[in-house]
Amino acid sequence: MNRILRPITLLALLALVSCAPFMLVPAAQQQDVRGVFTIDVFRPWNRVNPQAAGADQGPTESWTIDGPGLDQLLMLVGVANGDPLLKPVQPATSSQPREPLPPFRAGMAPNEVMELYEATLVRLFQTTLFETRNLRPAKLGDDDGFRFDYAYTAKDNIDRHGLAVGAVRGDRLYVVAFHGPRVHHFPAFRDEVERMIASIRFKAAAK
Amino acid sequence: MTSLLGRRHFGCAFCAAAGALTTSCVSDGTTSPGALAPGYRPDAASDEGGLWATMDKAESELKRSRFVVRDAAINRYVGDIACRLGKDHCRDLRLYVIRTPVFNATMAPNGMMQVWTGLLLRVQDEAQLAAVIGHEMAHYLERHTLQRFRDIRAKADLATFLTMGLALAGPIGSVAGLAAQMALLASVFAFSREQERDADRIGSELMARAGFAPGRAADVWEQLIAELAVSTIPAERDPFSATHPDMSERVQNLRALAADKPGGEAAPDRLRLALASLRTTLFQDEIRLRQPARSLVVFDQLRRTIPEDAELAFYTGEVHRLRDQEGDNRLAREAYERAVALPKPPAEAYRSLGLVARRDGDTPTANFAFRRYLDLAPRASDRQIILSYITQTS
Repeated sequence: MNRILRPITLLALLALVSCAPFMLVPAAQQQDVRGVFTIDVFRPWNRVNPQAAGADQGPTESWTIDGPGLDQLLMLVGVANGDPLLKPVQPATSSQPREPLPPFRAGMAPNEVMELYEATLVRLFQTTLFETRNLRPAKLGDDDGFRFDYAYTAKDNIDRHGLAVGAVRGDRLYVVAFHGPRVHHFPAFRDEVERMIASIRFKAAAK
Repeated sequence: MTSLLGRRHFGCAFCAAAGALTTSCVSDGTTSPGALAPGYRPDAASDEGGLWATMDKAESELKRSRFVVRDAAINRYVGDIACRLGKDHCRDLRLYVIRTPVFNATMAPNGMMQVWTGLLLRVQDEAQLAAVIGHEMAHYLERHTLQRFRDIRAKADLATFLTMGLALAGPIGSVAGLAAQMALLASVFAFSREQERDADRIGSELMARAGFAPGRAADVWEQLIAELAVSTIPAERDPFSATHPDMSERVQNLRALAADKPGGEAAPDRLRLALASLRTTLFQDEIRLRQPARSLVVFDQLRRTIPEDAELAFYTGEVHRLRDQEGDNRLAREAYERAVALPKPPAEAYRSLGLVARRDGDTPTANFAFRRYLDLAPRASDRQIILSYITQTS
């Protein structure tokens, strides 16, 4: 009996591990992100497992401490010209086809990238209550880029704040953003996220 | 706060004293003998009472929603139109203007009325808004939802009904929540063609009685057909599809219904004035949907009733700039140039003109436009990035 059960149990365990919704990102200096840049991680984070999401997520990293509904570090690691910022999974409950998400264009000015980010998240969170502000020049790694703040309310009626720092390198867009509820998670983790973003260093070959 | 017609009474000249809680059926000749009487509240133990309780629960969620437009003047304006149409039923209605950029209005059996902001953008005059509200009110007065509920129950399709009940009990208040629930409602409680025809007929009567031009009802549907014809979603394009089974037929019927009801007011200026404080939000929400073909049809339709103003020209330019396909840069630029030549252009028209000129490599125009934007909006929160554009090219 054990001889039969053991391999089945192992297989089941393997399946569970490969489909685990989150994977641990340990605290470490210069943690590699997709071979594109390094980032300092000051505490363990949970990385949303793209395989568990069941669809092509594109060059998107989603990390969280307490859960994506409470805090989400969103990293767009090289969106190509003509691609949307995100490739969201079609909700199982929706049989309605949707308009495609708007694409990134390599020549976009920071204002246009911010508009694109806004239009994308408006669709993702299905809300009209989304505002962007304070677009200003900033560095991402050693690259000249931009940053902005945003605020939104999604279907749970919770007010969230967010910040995004981005740059266009070559023809690709890189954005690191963080958002969470205004009343606790956003202010609680903001300083740490700012230090993480400041630590980002692009790898020499990465474009 | 949410405007509640029942509590505020809207100063409604048509409102009679609150009707007694009665189930007696009265008809004024417009509605059928089984229609709702003013002040009616069903027995809680009845099937209708259960239906109302479900709607009451959904409404209690809606009341707290951040997506409800709280602007008192907007609520008063739309509520007054409902009261003109509903007369003695005014105090039984509770209006919620919902910030969702989709053409829709609904009226639940318990008097919960929703008007979505996408409808407010699309109607060209007060009579068109009254046409949509009047149609929904007809469903309400005729208790069409209850009839459908009983039909479904008679078919023992209890599982479907329970699903709908659960969904309605869930959180309402977002585009997603509302859209999902309305889709579910539409699938479960889709009114029959006969009910739709009744609602069109009664709606037309209500419009005429209230002094609105009934002919404007057909125009609303014609506008929607034209908009859906350019949708990128195939199911929406075909007016004879399952989603819109009889829109063309409905236009013809509404025209015929209006033929013997001449006169009545359309009141485009009153609508425009009343919605002025919400207009920028309506445009912005539409633009963010990134459905350029549909938006351009809607804006063209608006342009037919009013001479193009700076804001309409600006948002037409925004559609082209954001679509960014062949020819769009030129069309965007032309629209922005029209906008800034008109009275009171938004400062953002100059910023957008700068962005398209920058794309074209037209540095002098870009820098002129960016500087003008900063002159007009000296405290703009993107000032530093705009200055960086000017510096990069200087």
